[in-house]
Amino acid sequence: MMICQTTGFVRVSIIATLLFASLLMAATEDKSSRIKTPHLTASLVSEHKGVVSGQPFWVALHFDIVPEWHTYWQNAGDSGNPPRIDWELPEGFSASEIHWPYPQRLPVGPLMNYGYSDQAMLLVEVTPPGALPPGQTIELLADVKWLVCKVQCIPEEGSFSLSLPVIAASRQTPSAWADAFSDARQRLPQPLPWSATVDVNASQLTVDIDMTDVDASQLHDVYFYPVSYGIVEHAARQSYTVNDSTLTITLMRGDLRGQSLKQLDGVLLIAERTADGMLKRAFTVTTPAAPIQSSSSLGIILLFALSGGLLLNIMPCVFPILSLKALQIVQTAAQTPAVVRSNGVAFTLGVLISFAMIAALLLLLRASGEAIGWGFQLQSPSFVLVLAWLLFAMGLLFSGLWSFGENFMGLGQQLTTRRGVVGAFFTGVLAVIVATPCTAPFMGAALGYALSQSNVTALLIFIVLGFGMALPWLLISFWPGLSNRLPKPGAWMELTKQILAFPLYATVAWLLWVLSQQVDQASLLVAFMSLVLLSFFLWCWQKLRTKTRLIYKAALVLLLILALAATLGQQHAPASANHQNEGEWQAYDPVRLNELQRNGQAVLVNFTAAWCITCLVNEKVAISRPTVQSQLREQGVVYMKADWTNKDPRITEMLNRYGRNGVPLYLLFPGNGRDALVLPNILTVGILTDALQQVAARE
Amino acid sequence: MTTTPFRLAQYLVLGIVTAYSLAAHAGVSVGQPAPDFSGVDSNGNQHILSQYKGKTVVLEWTNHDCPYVKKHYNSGNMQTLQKQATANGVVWLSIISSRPGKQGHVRGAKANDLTRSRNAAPTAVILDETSAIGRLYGAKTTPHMYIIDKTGQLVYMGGIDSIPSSDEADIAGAKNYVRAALDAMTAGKTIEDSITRPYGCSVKY
Repeated sequence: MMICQTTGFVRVSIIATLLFASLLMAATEDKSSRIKTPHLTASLVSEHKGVVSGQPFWVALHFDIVPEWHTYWQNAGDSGNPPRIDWELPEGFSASEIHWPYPQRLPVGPLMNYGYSDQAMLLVEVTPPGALPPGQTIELLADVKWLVCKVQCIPEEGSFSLSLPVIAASRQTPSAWADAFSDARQRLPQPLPWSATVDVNASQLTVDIDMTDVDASQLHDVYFYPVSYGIVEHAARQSYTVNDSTLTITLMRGDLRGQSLKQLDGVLLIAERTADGMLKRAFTVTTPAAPIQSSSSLGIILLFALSGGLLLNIMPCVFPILSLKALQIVQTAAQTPAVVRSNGVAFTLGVLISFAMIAALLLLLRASGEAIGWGFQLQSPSFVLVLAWLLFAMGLLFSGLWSFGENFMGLGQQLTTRRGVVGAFFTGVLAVIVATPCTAPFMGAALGYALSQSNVTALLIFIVLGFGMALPWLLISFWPGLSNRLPKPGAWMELTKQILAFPLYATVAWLLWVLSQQVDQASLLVAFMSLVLLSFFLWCWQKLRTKTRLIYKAALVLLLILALAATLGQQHAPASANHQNEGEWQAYDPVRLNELQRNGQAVLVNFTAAWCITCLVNEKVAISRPTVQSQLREQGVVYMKADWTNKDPRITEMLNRYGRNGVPLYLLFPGNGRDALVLPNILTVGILTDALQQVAARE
Repeated sequence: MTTTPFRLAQYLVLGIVTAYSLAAHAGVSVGQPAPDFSGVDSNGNQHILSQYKGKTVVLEWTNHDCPYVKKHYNSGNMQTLQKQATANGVVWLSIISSRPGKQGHVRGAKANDLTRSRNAAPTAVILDETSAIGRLYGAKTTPHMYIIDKTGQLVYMGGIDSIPSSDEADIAGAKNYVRAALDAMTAGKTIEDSITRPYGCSVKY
């Protein structure tokens, strides 16, 4: 037994338990068919009272387990170990491997185990030799090691002996255990009667099963138990859908996701509601796995990225910049087609290069182990403030407070070709920078996928996304006879320009609000003042523009840059993070979440950020609606907010666990130990109330 | 910003977003950079993984009351490995992710007692009371072993050896994956078994 040099009450009590167990086992050391420990009673039993010469028969290792303890299935899951039987059989006898009834899911904190509580009946088929003389007694000996766990685990072992008389076939009778055998047999997985296919990619397995005799509306539970380690992430939520008669199960790949998978082996459990109550059926799955052709899957992903980029054009962040682009187009429509085309190409290049650079920076930071995700730029108050300056200066430009260069953006004037190209390029750059608050929530999952691929693939996905964004403008610039279809430049453009200043001011207001979540109050005042300073400098610039020599202008610009840089230095994070609980919600805390889950408490976790517009809209139109809030209260669901406005590795880690790289993410933990429901990224009151009802029903 | 056209846009992109949201996965993977972490050891010193760039780092999740951990400490197996590794310049961090009140949770003094009494030789014992490091790495069992190479890449994750039992007698016949991996790294060879099943008690999160 274990000799321990250290002391401590916990330790002493555990040692005492172990000693007690070993004493008990020592007492039963004389090879009985039944061994009792403080955690279970183990027996080696036979289905029949005797052995018939040449006829295979069934024996079982039976555990009668005390409440709250459990033993393990052939794949124990994230921890634990299956029992091991070493047989010592009479001459000519052979024993099969264990036939395992399907197990239960045994979640432990963030981990998942597979095993048995209450009763475990592990079946073994023994084949005797052909010529056994009747009247003889045979003895089956088995050394068994097993692990029994509650939260702590106790390894136990025992030597069993089972004596059976050799009898004639006509005298064979069932033993007292026969019913237990037939019950256990009900729970043995049967060969899968339907055709199945498995698709594999780098992160998940998709199992399609053509179920012919299952009523999809009566499905209660579907679960796939992998037979070995590393195939499936045991603790990850398994989602399934039924379309016509095809059951599709999506499984997250386990630790061996980097290696190719030739065949998927496991047990599929299907629980259906029937007139006679719940019908549970288990099936053996041994299906060859087909890797999804990476080229075609990459093609589809690139197509998604392209359409995603296209859709970015109608996202609100991008709108002010694109209004600028629209004006440029009207302006240049009168130019020769060659100029228009080169502007279009320059804009596209600006977009592509910016996307590539941001992506490269993100990949580089992640390669150095930083826990960041897409949208990370906006977690920096400096970036937010610089963006606000940029947009504010543009707004003032639109309002006519200042102008830049002689002709540049001077509406109604001729643009020189070269300046037009440079302007178009930087419009592209600007469009991407301003688009990031939109891409973060909208493309978060997509970019998360991109980042799980090789760097080259990831970069390609980002670039195609950018190409999608630039595509409409590129097409327009190549449109023949464009100038005939657009309104003629004129006084209306000046008016339009002035009106378009206001969406820019609105964006600035929003950015300042984001900033107010990131810095303390004194810093915020400095930030506000910097905008006043900026407008003052721009006004000075305009006044001095035509009169002053270049050196003074340069000095002015330098001074402005220094002043703004000093402002950035004055942006301090609040002394204490704003994590107090406000009314209806609690700040996200993984430890607290765990405790709540253990206490059987349902929890809704909202992963959000001040700079994520989708998140804010979801909160406004769905989560904060009275219907939803009152339902949360009635069901006693705890509402947690995980605010990712600023860097928080705890939140990044949780997002990663659900395969995300950015916000929003909505998780509803049912509170009965099951995995969280992942709600859609776009919430409605209906989606939330349905999900909450589903959770209530499960309880 | 009006919400109505925005919501329209939202619905438009819903399909794409959901198509993607199923497709992504993250976590520690062999061949990828090991995520950085910082932790405080039993003597109150801070350890940041990235500070050990240029050295091989072994992470050992442990819980002194777990029978599987006892198997490797009572036999001296773990200590021998620790001594061999640290003698070769390897940084060995034993990490205790048990939450307060749970099995295996200890304070600094007790952790030092355990190191002394068991004659263990880790570089440091990190007290990960909040389980943050455990969760970051997805540590599942005690022991659960990870090896990070000099460039910061994760090169091994899994069990201590090839026989998942709590029986000391099995150590002799088992292949010690961590020793094999460290030897292969020293010899400049590829690690034969870089991902294996970790076995033991669950980490007491």
